[in-house]
Amino acid sequence: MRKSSPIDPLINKTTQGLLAATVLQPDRWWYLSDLAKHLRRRPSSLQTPLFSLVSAGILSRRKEGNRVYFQANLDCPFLPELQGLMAKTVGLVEVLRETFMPLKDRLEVAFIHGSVAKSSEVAASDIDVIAIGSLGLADLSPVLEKAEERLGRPVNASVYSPQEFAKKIAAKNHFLCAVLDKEKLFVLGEPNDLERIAGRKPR
Amino acid sequence: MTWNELLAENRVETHTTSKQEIDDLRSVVERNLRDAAISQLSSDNRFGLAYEAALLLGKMAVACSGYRVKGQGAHQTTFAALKFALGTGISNTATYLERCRRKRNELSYDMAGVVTDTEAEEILARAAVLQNTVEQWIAQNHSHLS
Repeated sequence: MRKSSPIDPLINKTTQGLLAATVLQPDRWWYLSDLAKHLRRRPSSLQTPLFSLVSAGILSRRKEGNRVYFQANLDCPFLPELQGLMAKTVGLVEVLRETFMPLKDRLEVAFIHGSVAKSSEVAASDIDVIAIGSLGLADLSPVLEKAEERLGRPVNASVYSPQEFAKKIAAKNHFLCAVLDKEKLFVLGEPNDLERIAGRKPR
Repeated sequence: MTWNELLAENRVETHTTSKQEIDDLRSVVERNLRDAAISQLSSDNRFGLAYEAALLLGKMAVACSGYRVKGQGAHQTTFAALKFALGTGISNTATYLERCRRKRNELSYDMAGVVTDTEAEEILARAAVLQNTVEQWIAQNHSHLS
């Protein structure tokens, strides 16, 4: 999960994580230990907030043998509003990953940089994305449009071929070298993929 | 959205074009595409020139359809109107050009080095395809302006 988000003053971190995981994948039943692993928390630390969310009618609980599962309560009257709130805040990366997925074969790496990645965003900050792969802005345009509809914020993308990215890093392009060294949120691919494209030794 | 709705919103007005007007636009498009192909120029400037060419191709299509774009947001209206002139087959191009419009605003006002080489090459190739599409459409539908 991201370090900070504009809804921190409204909802505590653990509950944000639980809500983002459940309401953004409303068909999925989460086993407690899977949720804990996903959120990098101890299962015992999730018991109380999960109980509160079930009591409030926001999550459903199902028991199978010794196992307890949780899912978004599909009958919760404000589920759509919760989904919108989560998608636009803590679920940014998940929403972008889902919308970028149809292009995954042509995208080697895509990541968020700038104020959103640095967690210094305000609620309406633009989301700046760098996409590296064998595609162009024309391929990305419909995908970016969809992401903007879901997130309610502008999503700006810069598109590089892997060759151009490597060439600019080798030429010590100021902007890209700074991007490499600053915070990033990976939408597709991993930090090692970026280091490889940049011609740097993976850390 | 339709031409009538654009008229009602004061985003276009009716306009009778001439072969002279279309030829003038043609020559600027040719010049811009030729200059945008100069690889020694910066990607920002190559992008800007190819973008202007695409915009003028849109203006040609709008003019041949009997309209002229007016008011604020003229670039946005021109790209939106491409669909009414050339048909829905041009929708993806219009969506792409709308994205380019936003990028071009950044490079005009904010900073240098906004456009990547990949993006500059792409818009040049796509503007050349749009030029063919628009010229074929004019030849088929408005042959006196061809």
